[in-house]
Amino acid sequence: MTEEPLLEAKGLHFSYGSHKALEGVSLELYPGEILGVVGESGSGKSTLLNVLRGEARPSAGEVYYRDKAGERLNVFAISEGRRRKLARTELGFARQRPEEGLRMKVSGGGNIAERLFAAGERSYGVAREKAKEWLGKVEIPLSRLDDPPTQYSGGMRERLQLARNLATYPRLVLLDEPTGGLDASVQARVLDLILSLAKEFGLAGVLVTHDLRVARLLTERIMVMKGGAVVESGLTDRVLDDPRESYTQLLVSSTLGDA
Amino acid sequence: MARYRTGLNYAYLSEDAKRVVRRALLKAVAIPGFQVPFSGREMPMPYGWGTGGVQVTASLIGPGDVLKVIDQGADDTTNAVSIRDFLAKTAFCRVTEETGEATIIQTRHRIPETPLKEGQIMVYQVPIPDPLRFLEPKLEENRALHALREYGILYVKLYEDVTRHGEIAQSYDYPAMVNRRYAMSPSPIPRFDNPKLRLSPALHLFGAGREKRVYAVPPHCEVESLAFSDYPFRAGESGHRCELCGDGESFLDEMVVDDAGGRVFVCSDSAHCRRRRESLQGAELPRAEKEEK
Amino acid sequence: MYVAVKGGEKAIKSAHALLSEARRGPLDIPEISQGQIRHQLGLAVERVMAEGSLYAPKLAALAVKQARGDLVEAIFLLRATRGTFPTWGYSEPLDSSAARAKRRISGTWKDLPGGQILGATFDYSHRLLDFELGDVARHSRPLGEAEEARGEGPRVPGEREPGQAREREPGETGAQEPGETGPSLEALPRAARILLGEGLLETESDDGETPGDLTRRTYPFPYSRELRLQSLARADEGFLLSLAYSTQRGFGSTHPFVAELRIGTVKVEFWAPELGFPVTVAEMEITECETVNQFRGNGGRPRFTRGYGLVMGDNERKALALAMVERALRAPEYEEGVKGPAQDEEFVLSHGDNVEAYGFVSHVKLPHYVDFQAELSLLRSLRENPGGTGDGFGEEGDGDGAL
Repeated sequence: MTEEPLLEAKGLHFSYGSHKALEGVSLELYPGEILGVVGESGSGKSTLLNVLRGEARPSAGEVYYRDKAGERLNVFAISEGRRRKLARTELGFARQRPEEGLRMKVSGGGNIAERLFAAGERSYGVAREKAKEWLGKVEIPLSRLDDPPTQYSGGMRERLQLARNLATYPRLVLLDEPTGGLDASVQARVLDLILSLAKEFGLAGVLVTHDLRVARLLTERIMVMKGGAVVESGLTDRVLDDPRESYTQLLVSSTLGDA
Repeated sequence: MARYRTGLNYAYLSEDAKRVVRRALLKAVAIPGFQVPFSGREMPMPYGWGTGGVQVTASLIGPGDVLKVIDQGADDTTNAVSIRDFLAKTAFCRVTEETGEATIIQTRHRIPETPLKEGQIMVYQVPIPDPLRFLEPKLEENRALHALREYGILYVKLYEDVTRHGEIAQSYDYPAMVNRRYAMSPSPIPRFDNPKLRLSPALHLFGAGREKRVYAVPPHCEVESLAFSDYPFRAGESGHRCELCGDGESFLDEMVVDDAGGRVFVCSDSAHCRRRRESLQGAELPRAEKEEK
Repeated sequence: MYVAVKGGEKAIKSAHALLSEARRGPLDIPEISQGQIRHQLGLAVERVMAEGSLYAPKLAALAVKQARGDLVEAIFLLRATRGTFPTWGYSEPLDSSAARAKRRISGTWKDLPGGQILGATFDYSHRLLDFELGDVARHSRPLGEAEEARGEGPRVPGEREPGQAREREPGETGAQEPGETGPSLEALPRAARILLGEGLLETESDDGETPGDLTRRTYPFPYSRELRLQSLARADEGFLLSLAYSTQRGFGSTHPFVAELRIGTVKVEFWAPELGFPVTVAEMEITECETVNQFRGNGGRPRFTRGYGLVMGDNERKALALAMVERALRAPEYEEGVKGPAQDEEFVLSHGDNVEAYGFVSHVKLPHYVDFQAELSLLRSLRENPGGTGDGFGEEGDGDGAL
């Protein structure tokens, strides 16, 4: 890899009271790459995402992000205004529960448009056209454009959340269990969609999941976390086919089973 | 009338309390559209009935001032009468119904039709000072949104309106950007009145007593009503004429005059209407109502 | 002719005259005095003082009279009066342990040092209308019974004998003065102290910060604990009662035990720089409640948590509810998650003030001709342009509904 990393984390520590959620986590993410973070619940995966997106300040360690202009920014040293602006333009964040990432009383189109308005769009017509376009990309029927997400199925909500996040063409997406609440067939469709969108737009991503099958399908590299620390990392196929750490072996045998 | 306890301070508020309000007002004028917190006191009238406006007026007024108080555009609505009476009795100032004569005009829900002049102060009674409140009720988050000028959410409301109704369905308390920086609630004036704020030569002060905030539009300040580039702001017009003075350009109240649903329209600004009638006396009144639709 | 629908000076004048007549009622019934209200409707006066944030029994009694017994209106009157007073300074912290108690109970111990004092309570009275009480001419309280009760005190096991000397705690001061009607609360060590000694209860410490004053400044959320307690102390009793109740029904439960509830009279001391020592400027009654709540153990050994409520005057229903709500509001501190309305600080503290709530709710009675007219015109224009799928009134201004 000759390119510079898009996102770097160095020695992240984070605790809730006396509970240590992150203990010395480091990572590098390159443009166009999807990194998986796997582990049981409570292993610090979601905390890691919150730190990476600049929402939770680590007690020690740094996060660097290389912006569109090529400037390497220390995420917690820049102003809150600049951090929030990056978060609504260059960064996408899909929550585990899409209901928390959507405005449930606002139409599907309005949900997508909000991201565009936040980035400065002031034309109704343009916002609406782009909303339609994105609804199409995430395979939601255009007839649902003006319905609120309360009337959407779980899978549609997931996809609307993706559309809302991608509408400003972010360079980095953070996905927290993106298919957690979906049944198998819907899950496959959403995963497929994420993969094709990532390819189409050259997205880089960090995917948090407890589901090793999802990680295998979407990621090139993975990190295995336990008790706030990284126990093993490497190419996804290598780690899952030939786990070196006993914890990873346990995780693989218990979740992938005989697959 | 209510009996007042003797020994009250001039204009009711203690000098301490007035200074607190004045300090907040100075800051508000310096940062147009920014909501400045101030430590409001309980006033002898209920919250929601103009305590913010009364505190602003009371902290500015002097014996040389000429005060006008309107509610719904009219000088003779009960609450306007009650507030005017209170201020006149505690501040010993002259009162008037003439917009042009007043140095301070306290208002609820209207801006007078008569154009304001340099040196005049408009004082607005404000129920909910934050235009973001009904989009995001948490004060903590709203402070951040204003500080970082993150107003995307305001446009979502407009988007939903245009989508559902074909136009921006906000008829009063229509938000505006002040000095291209802060989104501001103009208080529940009809959107018809919004353009009167833009580059106005008068000083506009907004007082929210219960919410303990003041904010300001200084003279000659840019006030732009929120809209889309392809759905511009429309002030709207009634399409009727005043039954009494024949004005077709002022904001009109609708009156139901019989059991059969018969209606007439009259000026909401009672002083404006009276002046027009006086100046038209003898002359033929322009034909009222039923001209257009 | 159209101006007639808008009221005027004359209408207001008439309203005041009618109000004055209604307040006095029929002239053949004697007029009630401030003293009668203060002493015979005492709990009404106490509530008005607590929520009016002004300890002034005579003024509060006058407010109750002027408000025709509408306590929220009376609270409003007292608050408005308070607003005209200058602030000279702040008293020394009240020392409730040096107070004269008229009531002190604990729900956590059957028996505890100092014992339980029932005092004048409704708790064990059967709620049957006492028709004798209705006959003013015949009724007078049996002489001597109350005196005897006070002298002996309603005895509960473990209580010390009247006049019995007690052991002085190190550093304690202030002997009981002659003529005091109850034992000093100082004689009654705080129930919480028992748990503190064992390390079973979280400790509290003075952070050294000067407390804020909600009546003189505005503060952004989240509030510090002392501001929260101030806000709750002047909040509507009914609002707190219902919120406390909601926590018991599962909307953010805190499992409270009443470690102690005490009502007594304390001295208010003011430190006068000219003198260089604090002087007693007043005496006031307070109700204080301490709850012991569910323990928590993350990061260290498990301990009980606690809630606290202090209210001016004799108002134990409110002090108890206050302590429960106060504890519920500490949910973020204990990482309990905000699950019920009573745990949501901004919600509770923004809506508990009944003077604010009363005013704003009642302001919808004011004319809204202009907004309504604007809304009417808009609705008509929308109906003329079919294609909209619209519903409802505009969401701003006096409307509701966050996106």
